Amino acid sequence: MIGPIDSNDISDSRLVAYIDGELSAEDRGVVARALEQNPQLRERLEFLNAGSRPFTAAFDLLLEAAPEDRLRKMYAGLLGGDVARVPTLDNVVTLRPAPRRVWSPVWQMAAAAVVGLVVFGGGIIAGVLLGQQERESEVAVQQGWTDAVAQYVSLFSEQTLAGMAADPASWQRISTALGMTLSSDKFAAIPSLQFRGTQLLQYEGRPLAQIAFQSETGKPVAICIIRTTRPAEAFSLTRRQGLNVVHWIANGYGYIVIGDVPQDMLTRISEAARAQLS
Amino acid sequence: MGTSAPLSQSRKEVQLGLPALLKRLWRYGLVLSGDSDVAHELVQATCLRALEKCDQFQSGTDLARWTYTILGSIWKNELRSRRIRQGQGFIDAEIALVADGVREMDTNLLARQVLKEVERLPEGQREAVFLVYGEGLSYKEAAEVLEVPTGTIMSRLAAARTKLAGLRGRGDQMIPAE
Repeated sequence: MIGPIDSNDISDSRLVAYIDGELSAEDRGVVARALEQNPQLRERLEFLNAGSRPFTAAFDLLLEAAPEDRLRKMYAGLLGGDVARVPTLDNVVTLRPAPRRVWSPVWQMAAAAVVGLVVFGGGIIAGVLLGQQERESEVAVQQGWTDAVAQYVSLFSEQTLAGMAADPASWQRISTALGMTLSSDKFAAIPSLQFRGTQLLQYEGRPLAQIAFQSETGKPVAICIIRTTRPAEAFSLTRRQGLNVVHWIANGYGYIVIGDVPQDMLTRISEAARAQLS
Repeated sequence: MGTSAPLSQSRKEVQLGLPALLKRLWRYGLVLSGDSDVAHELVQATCLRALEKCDQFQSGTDLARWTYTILGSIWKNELRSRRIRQGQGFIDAEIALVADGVREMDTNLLARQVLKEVERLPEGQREAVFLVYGEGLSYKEAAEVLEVPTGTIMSRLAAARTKLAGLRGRGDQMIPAE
């Protein structure tokens, strides 16, 4: 896609692709080795990196300025209906995977990328390597959704649950977005859970349905569903962000059941949910 | 509207999915045109076109990218030729700052500074920076939205970074309040 790379003539375009984690593993290695050997190339990389800015925060400022009411009215007008039937614009939350573009000193990153070692413990080098993953990797994207959901749900409180949409229209919305029939009936029989509301999220441009409950311990539990092309996977039980997580894949959908509840309770809930959803 | 015929799956997805995108589409329109009224017009025209062409939308694919492509094309083919008043930018009095306290103001000052710099970039670089660094699209995705080769995205980002690097010292340091 990007074309062959010549280690003696690495363009600014290639260096930017390197900074942004857009090169294949092989090309990354070529650039990393060239950077180790060539001080002028390292200087050029530093210069290009000086062109970074906190763009996301800056563009988010524009988003805050968007004339929400005017836009809703306009849209309602296009459909010939009334404004009240247009959902408020913040109803869909976009989950982002872990930041892809993490900067760290060139030679450390170069060494790690070339040799493939995870030298430092935990977060930092993991973040750097995540930044260096090929964007085309479907597996990485699909594994990333568990982390993104866990980060989001870990911020839930009982107040969050109280604010969720529980009406039939919200069920219709997530059903349509996912292309499957989801309804309160399906979830009514799950033990230990009281339904609180649904939410439509987005991950990597794909709709992600979240159905939120209050467990009998009072803690929130969420069942999340996303379309996937990955083959079926059996239950796996892990911990993320201090929460227990059950994950499985069946019939083109990935499922997560997540909450700050004991593992055995979560497993029972997940089994009941899976029975309803298959 | 008010038809009794059932809506197709594509129509449903587009119709239900658009409200969540309206603010982001407006932002994209603002980045392209530098004018909030033109941005509004762009969103309206994009929604109309998206609803008309909903059968071309592949169910389950990314609605955001599909509609961004439509918006970009309407801008380039239909609205850009209009004379936009010179000197008008997207950083003006209409951008209301949420200022709860001093820290909020500092964050916004830096963000506004970044926006001023982005505003000064030529359109091609500005769009690439917005889609890749603002919206988080991959090079390939941004290339599809802008209907250019991936190499063009790369060179535009490199040019933008070169320009921005030249505007100031190291970009990874906090800029002190002026």
